[in-house]
Amino acid sequence: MAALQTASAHPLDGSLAEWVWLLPLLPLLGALLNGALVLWPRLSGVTAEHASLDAREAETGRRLAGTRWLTSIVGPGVMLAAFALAVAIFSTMRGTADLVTPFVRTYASWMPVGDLSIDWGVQLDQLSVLMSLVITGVGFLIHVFSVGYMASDGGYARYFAYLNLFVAAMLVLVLGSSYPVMFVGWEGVGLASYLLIGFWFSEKANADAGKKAFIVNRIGDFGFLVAMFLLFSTTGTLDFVGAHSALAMASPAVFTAAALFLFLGCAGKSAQLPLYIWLPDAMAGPTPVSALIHAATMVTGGVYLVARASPVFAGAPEVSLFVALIGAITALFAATIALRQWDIKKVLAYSTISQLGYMFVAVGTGAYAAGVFHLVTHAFFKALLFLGAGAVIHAMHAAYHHAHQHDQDAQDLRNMGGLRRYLPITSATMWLATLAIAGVPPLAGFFSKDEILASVFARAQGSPLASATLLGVPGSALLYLIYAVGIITALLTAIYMTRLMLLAFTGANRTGDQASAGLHEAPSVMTIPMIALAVLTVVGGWLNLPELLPLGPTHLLSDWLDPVTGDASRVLGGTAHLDHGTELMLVGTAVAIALIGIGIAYARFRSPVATRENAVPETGIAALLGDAYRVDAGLDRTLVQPLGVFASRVLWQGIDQRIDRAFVAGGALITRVAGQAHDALGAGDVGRYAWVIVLGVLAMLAAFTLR
Amino acid sequence: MTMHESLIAMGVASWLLPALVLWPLIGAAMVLVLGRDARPRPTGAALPSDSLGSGGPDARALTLAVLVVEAVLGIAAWLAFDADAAGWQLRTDLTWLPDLGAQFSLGVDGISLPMLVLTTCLMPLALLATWDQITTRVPSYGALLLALTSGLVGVFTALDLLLFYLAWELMLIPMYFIIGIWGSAGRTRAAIKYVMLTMFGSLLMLAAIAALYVMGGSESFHLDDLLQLSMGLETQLWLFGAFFLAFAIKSALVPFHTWLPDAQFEAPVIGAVVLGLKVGTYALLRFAMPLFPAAVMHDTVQSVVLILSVIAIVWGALVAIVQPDLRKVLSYSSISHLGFIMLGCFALTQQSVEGAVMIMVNHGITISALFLLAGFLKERRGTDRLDAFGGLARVVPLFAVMLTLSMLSTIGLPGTNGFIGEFLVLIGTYRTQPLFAILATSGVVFASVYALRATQRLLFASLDTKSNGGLRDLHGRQLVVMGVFAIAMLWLGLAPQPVLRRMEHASTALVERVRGTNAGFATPAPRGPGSLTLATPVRPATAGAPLR
Amino acid sequence: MMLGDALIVSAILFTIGVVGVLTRRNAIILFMCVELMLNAVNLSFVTFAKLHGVGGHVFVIIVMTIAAAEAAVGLAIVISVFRHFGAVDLQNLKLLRR
Repeated sequence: MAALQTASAHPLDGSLAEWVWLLPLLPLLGALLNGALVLWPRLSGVTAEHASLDAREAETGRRLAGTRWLTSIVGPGVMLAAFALAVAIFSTMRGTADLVTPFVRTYASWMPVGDLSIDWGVQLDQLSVLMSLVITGVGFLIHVFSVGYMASDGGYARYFAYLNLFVAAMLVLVLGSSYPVMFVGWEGVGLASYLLIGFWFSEKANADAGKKAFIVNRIGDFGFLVAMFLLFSTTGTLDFVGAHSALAMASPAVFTAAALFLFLGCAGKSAQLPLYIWLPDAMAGPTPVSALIHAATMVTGGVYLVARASPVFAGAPEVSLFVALIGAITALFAATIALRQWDIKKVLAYSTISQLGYMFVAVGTGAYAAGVFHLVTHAFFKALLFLGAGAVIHAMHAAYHHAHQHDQDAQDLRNMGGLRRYLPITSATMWLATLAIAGVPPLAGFFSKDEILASVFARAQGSPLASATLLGVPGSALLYLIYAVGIITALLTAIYMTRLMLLAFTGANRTGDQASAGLHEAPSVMTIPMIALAVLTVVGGWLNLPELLPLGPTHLLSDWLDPVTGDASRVLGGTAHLDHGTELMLVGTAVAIALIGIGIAYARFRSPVATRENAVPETGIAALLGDAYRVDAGLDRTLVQPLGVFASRVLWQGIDQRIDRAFVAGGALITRVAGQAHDALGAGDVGRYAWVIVLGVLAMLAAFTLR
Repeated sequence: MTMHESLIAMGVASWLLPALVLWPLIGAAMVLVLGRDARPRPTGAALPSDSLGSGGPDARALTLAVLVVEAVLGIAAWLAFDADAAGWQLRTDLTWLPDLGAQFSLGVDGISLPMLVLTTCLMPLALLATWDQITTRVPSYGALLLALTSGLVGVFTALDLLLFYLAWELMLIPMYFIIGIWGSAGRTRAAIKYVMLTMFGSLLMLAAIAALYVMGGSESFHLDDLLQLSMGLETQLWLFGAFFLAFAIKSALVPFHTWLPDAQFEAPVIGAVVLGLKVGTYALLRFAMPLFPAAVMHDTVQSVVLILSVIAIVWGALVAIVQPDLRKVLSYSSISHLGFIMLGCFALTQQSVEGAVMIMVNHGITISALFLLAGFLKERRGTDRLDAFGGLARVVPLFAVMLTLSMLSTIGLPGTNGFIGEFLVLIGTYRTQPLFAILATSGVVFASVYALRATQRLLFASLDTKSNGGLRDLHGRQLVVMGVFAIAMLWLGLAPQPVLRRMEHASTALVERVRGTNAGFATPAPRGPGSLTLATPVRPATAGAPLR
Repeated sequence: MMLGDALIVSAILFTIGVVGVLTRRNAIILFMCVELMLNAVNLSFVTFAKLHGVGGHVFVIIVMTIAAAEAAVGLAIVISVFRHFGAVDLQNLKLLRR
């Protein structure tokens, strides 16, 4: 593809990087192909031939079944190709020196209007290629897993079409060269999420969940849009390179406002307080979807945005503090809820919200590399956890199907237990991921979470951020508070995750004798991706080893990302650095907390638990946590219902219909009054006519003579 | 030679626009005289051949042929348009009423061209999609449709105020008949309400036109001459008020919007489609704003209109959420989008004006697609009540894809055409009226609520009734037409710059004309070094100079 | 000859006629008053003819002709009314009234 304009000579010119445009295009092609497979039976006239719905669906199913192999190849295939390309580009970049500026290519003009010039362009730099690797790599593994998980589903091709579409949009999000192009991907993943959450749309609850996700996301999008307007009116351009450099002249108020609105967008996309409410409901979608979208990629879009817009956030230290604070509160809040969830996916959902909170703590305090590091490791172990949950649910469904107990909940932890015997691979890999998320060394989660907490503590001790104040509270106090919240959350994380593992995999099996005979391990097409992710979970920490534990080259990731986020990081964090003693103490604390958490969970949850049916209804705090603080019900009562009533009674019936009647009645009134006024002139009385004529003539004469 | 040059060389410019206006009228006469009414088809019997023998051509086919020719002419106009030239193009002036000072003067610029092409291309598509929906008195129907088309084209191309008024009224009467004769149960009331309200506004406008004529001293109705007039602020306010009221009623600006849901609900589908074309706002941009710049820039006027626009955006969206019928949802969606258009028009920056025109074009496409889809439901099941359906995605997946795509376009999803206009309006408005822009942006949230609610009720959730299970999917003509719409929505969403490019001169001229000679398009904002240069230089123009 | 006096006489006659048209209830009297008005106008036409030439006389002839025709038609209508109501009171003619 010919490029429209090029920046001044870049080290990557003419290299493999020129093919970066192919990255989002590959999954898009997959989506189109799979979509065509879905619609082909209809387009080729199935409807015309068969009258009843069942006959039509049978015929469609027959035609589609013949093409299932194609979907199984194309769906994961384009992902593999994209991943290969991403790896190739990455190694090209690794082999190129002096990659300080981003590699930008614009391909076509999108909205040229006066001094606003938005182009379709790609920006390739260390951050975007890293994100691409995660998206395509983890995405590929999840696609392979889906081949097994969705094998018996009627909407097979549709599923892969949507999933490919999602990846394409996500790649546009991370590769876009300007805010509007990023926004295309931003909304695109929202669309794909909507379609995938409501995949089994025959159940109203699923469709509702998808709708809720989209609408709550939209509230965030409102913030994104306003931030864009603000940036354009200040700098006159919206591409990252131009806007961020021109922003240097702006006033602090602009930084603050832009950062605040951008964060609103992040809160929507990444499920931070108060816009997190869509994520637990999103578990209604197929589990691989939850793995890909609601763990590894889409929800991390907000973290990516903060990292990408780091110059904006760096210029607004108060907002950055606010971001970190919200992240911390969200992390704690979600962790408390996860403690008392019985649905295996809900636990993981709240866990994701909590871990996202950690990421925002990182990027809020200017430790962008640490946030991205946690993003990457979280992608590994959270995707693994979700895939494992998928394997479990798959097995439970098969078991209940086998026993003809279709009304049992396959996702309820109270119906599981002792699954280690039936699903050994799943159990082992999930234990690995649990230890990682709890922060046990030397797994990936330990390194990334520790880096975040260390950065916070370091900045609390002394940095430009610590010197700033948020609503009068000094930054250093807030940072210490955030650290404390982080530690408490780490404890809770260890507890709830261990609880999940204990309830599901250890102890006696509660599924029932009939059904448990049908429990079996997942097929290899599902377990191999899990094993791959498990390997990544183990070695992932090597991406960014701290100097304290030099088990290999240190700070690989931080150094890699330095050209992109380093400056902003130093603006907020200064030269904050922990001495080895303090750092060792922090690491020790973190590890201790993790082990204590695991221990508490063992003590508490190893005793037998009642099955779902025999469960005693919970009371008090447990019930509150189980209901997620009844936030959804509260919002429904205070916001959704009143709005509906307002729209219906006040606006529509009250005002709109009254206006309508007023206009109609008004027209009738005018006609009637005019008619009545006209009666004064005679109304059939000839004598009155004569009077009027005479008076009229006299009046005219008077007017003429007295002029 | 490019298409443009070859067309100009053929001398197309001298007759294209009059042909566009008059051809549908000729076609209407042909359809009335020659067209054959729809015959009830006896089941199983072979159709008699209808060559020149007993009945003449099918009235619908004849109307379609006329409209297709019209569409070709419209596309020719698009191709013959030179994006780099300023001022009126394809200009034709014929003497009409010299004693009165009225000319038959037609011309297009970057603002009217997209509307013209939209109208001419939309009509045959809409007719094709609703082929089986009108079965009585078809020749009259076809003739009225063609007269309506002629009126629309006339409105979009007239440069003479009297000719414009004539075309404006020519739109009104056929629409009244179309609603009143072929509409559904409450059609009489809806038609009368429509005529009354619109006529009220039109008469006010006529009075204003007469006043312009008289006080001008130029004794001319032509826009170029009237633009030379200098009028005092108070005069401008009164006259602008009359024009604005007429256009506000016609385009259904809150609080004059109540006729639209009823009219679009009771009308046959094509009527609803035509009602969705934003003629009122076009006329605002073409006549009311350039003629009365002082009134437009007046603080009170700005405040009132901007507040009304934001109210329309939010109100339309909120009421759309609680509507029980799909077409009523669409009407209120239209009202909401109109708020965006008004906002863009009055914010008066190049981005907001081009955005407003883009919404006019894109919303025309999207809402027409949606009304056609609603029409399909009504055609098959007799109703478009949301609670009469459910789970249709299983039964009619092609329909579901089209509906979802169109709803996403209404929401303004990036990648669809709906995003372009909304984004440009909002970003343009933010430069001069940041608070209003922020309030208006909240509309995107509400839009997703009503659109997804409607989509969900229709397509998702459980398939409840047996009769829904037997619904036939899009096929044949309807599938082709909807396919064209889908392509248009995606194309204009991803590559709108051909349209934007052609609008450039007209929009900058409008902004300069109304704002006066001071710095072009926006409140000057602090600009860093090396960040931008204005794409088009600010041209020094004297107040009252013609739009050249 | 005092033209002013003739005009004053004409005016007085006209006024008497107008008042009679407006106030009298008998249709025949009404017609007589209308005739009075017409002839008053004739008088003023003749007076002005003295000043401005023969055009005034021409008008007098025209007015007289039309007055005769109108009287004929009007009296025919009055006779029809009389046959219907038995009286020529104008109060009877109220079918047009609301």
